[in-house]
Amino acid sequence: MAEPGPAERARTAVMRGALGLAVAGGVAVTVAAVRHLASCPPSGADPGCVRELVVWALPAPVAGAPALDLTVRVDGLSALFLALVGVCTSCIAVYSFGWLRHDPLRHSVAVAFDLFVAAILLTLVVDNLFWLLVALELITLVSANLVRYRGRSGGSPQASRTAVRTYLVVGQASLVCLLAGLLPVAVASGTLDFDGLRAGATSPAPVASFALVLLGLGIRAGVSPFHFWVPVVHPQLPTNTHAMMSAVMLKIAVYLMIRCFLEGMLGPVQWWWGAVVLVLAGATALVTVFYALLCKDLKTALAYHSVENVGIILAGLGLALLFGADRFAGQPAMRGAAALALLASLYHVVNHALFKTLLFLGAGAVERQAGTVETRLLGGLLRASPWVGVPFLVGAVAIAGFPPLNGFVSEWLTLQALFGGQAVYRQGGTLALAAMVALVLGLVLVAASFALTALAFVKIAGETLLGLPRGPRATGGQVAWSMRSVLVLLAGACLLLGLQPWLLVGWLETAVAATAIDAPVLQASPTGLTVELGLGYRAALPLWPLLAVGVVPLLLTLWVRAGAATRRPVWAGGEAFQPRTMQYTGGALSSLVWELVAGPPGRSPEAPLPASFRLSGRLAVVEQANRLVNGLVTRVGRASQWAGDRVQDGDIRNYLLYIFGVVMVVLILLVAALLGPP
Amino acid sequence: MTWALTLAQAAAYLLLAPLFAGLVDWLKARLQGRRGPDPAQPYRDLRKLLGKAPSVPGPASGVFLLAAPLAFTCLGLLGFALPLFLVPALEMDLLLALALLGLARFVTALAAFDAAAPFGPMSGGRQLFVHTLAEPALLLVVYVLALGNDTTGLASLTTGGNPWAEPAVPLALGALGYVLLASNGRLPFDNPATHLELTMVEQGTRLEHSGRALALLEWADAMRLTFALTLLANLAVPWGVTAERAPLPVLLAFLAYLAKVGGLLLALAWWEIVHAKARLRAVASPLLLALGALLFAVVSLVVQDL
Repeated sequence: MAEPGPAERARTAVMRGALGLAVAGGVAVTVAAVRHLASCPPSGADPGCVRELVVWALPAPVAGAPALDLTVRVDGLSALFLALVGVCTSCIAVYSFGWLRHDPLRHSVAVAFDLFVAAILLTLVVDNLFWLLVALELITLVSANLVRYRGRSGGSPQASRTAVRTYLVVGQASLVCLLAGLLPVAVASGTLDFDGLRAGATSPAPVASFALVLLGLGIRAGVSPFHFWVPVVHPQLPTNTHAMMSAVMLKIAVYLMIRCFLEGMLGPVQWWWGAVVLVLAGATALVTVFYALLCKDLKTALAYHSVENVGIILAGLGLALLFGADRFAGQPAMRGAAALALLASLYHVVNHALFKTLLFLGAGAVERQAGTVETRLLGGLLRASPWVGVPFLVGAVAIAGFPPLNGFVSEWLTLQALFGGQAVYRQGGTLALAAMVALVLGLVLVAASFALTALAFVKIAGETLLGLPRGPRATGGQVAWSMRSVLVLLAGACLLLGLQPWLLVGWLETAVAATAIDAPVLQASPTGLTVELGLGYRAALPLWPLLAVGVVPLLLTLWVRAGAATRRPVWAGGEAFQPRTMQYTGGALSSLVWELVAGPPGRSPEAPLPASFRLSGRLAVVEQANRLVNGLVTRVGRASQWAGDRVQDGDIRNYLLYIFGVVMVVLILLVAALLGPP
Repeated sequence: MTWALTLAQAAAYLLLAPLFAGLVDWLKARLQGRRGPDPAQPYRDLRKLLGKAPSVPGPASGVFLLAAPLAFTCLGLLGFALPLFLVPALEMDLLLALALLGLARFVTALAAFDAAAPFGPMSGGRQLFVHTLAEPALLLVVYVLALGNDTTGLASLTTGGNPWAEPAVPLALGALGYVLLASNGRLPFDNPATHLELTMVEQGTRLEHSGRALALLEWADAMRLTFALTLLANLAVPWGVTAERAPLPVLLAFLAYLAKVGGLLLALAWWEIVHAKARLRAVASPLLLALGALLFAVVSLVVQDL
């Protein structure tokens, strides 16, 4: 191999420096956040466990306007998210040493990754609406640079441009809605500090504020039908930052939802907010897991699954809002159910960050190994490279929500919160009936999405890891040890949090206590979790079956294999077995589900997003959200062209008229200001 | 004493399971006027298979080898915590029990992919598809039970008060029975006696297994049937499960258990000879019907609280 030139060496040095900084910073943030969580008293003594530090005292630019101090504020909730960001950052940075090693854009990606993480950290610690908006805008800008990656390294420029545009438009739209929802609150309370907003400011129009904030954050979190941007943007990212975007960035929206809704920034919590969030969350989970089943590409499928998991997280949050509404303030049973729901939601936040980071990094390793992420060309990776295959399989079982892995624990807790909130049925007729509709609908949607996730991951894991290779496989690069070690570490974390959930519960309780809801409802010990809500609801998750499921099968396998299991060729009805054509495919597996709604592919209109999934020559399934967006984009484009043609018609007299009109308006305003009341 | 009895109950669950599987086939045959296989035949099959080392398809990895032991463990564990005739020393949650059943299904479907032969994944996928339709109804059953009993613990649910006092619970139990037919691969969802690979829903995932692995899978199937029968019997007739540790009550409780399950076995055999297998595309509507019944159950429970 030729000696690398000075430019190459400089790039490598920049990459190493940036990634080293990320590893060190990630570890430091994790340690600091965990120490903060551990130092908080269990509950009651110091609710919220808040530490504040004014970094930059910035007086108000205009007299009478609120001050814009940059204050760092960390409480239990933000410490939990900070720890999560820290863990993900350091894992991804270590992995990137291997993944980026020969990449021509390594310096740029590594630096952009550092900035991305910094912007996310800033979002979690700011305590001021102005700085929050700055931080959110920074996230969008910095990560938009990462979205350009595939376009810059030889991918389709058209797809890259679409992704960047979609991403920026989505970021702006979300910000505008958030601003429109929160500014009235800030104006009414005369401050931009969150402490001031929490202290009792109520929005002048709480319903509109709730709707706008939900819309703004929902767009960012990918709540259906705004999930469209996630699978468009994800395949354009460098693989190592997929994980950051889906495991962490989508959670920022969840974090802000908890802050805005549960902490009373928009006024007292209404029970119907929870009902709305719960049903939306269930619908999001089901819709996105269905589309995930149709994807042929591992990364797009995982991106859809990210939104599905956001749905499950939001279901927990919806339950917390429903049960934790202010009108139930005096009822311990309701408060308990709300605390349990929020705890379940946060547990799933942690779990999803772990297993989704694992799966995305695993997909990166699969791509490195096999040269493609198209699942129908893959197969047999578990035997070919067990260091990648086994952790990926662990991630698949975890996301499908089976014991003894961590996904099961948070799904169990979410369902227990739903079952445990029975006191809501004793709150009066209309409320009870409406709550019942929301709860049952939420339960059915979430249950269906759990089952479909299992189907989807049999498809993904079966096609990617098991059997024999299904297609011509490029001999890809080696999977470096830095990548393998991170995968194994994350798989270990998934297993640990599945087998010993009590390790995490204490910190989660601290985080839950930071919101106004705190009631000790979950006794966690090394032998099991016990839920005890008021009015007698009780459920227990013993841990011995989980340990047994982890250990006994290994022993039994040794016994089954005793006495030399013989290997035989695959039997294919007497024919010679052809691995490429005779193996069952994931497309056929999922056809049981999609054939119910598939139709002939329509003529796809001139549109930015893929309007449907082509499943065969004759069948396609329409992606409704993308179709909606395409229609909107086409209409807006046509309307603006029509208006533009009318306004900008090149006639000098019209332009003079516009100038005259503007001057008149300015004059009228001036006169009004001068003559108006002082 | 309590522990010894718990272990004895687990052993009974483990050892009775093949008998129940054999009894269904024998009863079906008798009801159709055939002589049928001896009810003890599954024991002989298991003994023969347990003595043989498995033969493994060439491309299979560890997943294939692990599948049968894992499925067996998942189902076997339930015996330690499910009250058959006495309240066990260990507690278990119904949601965890359902998750263990799901794990067994998941891993056998993965193993079918691992074996690389085409029939296995086809039937594994069908199994998961049927389950996808059944899962909402299944969780709604748990919800109804939790509404009535304030818990999802197996022991408290199956030794609770009179389930027939409220109209909701029989409705829910009927739906549960229907859903359990689906998750056990019985008619009309799957024909357990089929030998035609193209129509298989459950059996296809067993095709590539052999020797001890096949024995463990067959045994796990029998235990799944036993779990379903026991759950349904003890939910519907919660009398006769004893918490006492004296010999006579335990013996009486055991006989009561055999009577309950025997009744259900007869009902299952009768059900299977009067029903034909539904087309795979048509299984959605009966399961939606079960879901509808459960919605009524929830509504009735909620309305009476108002």
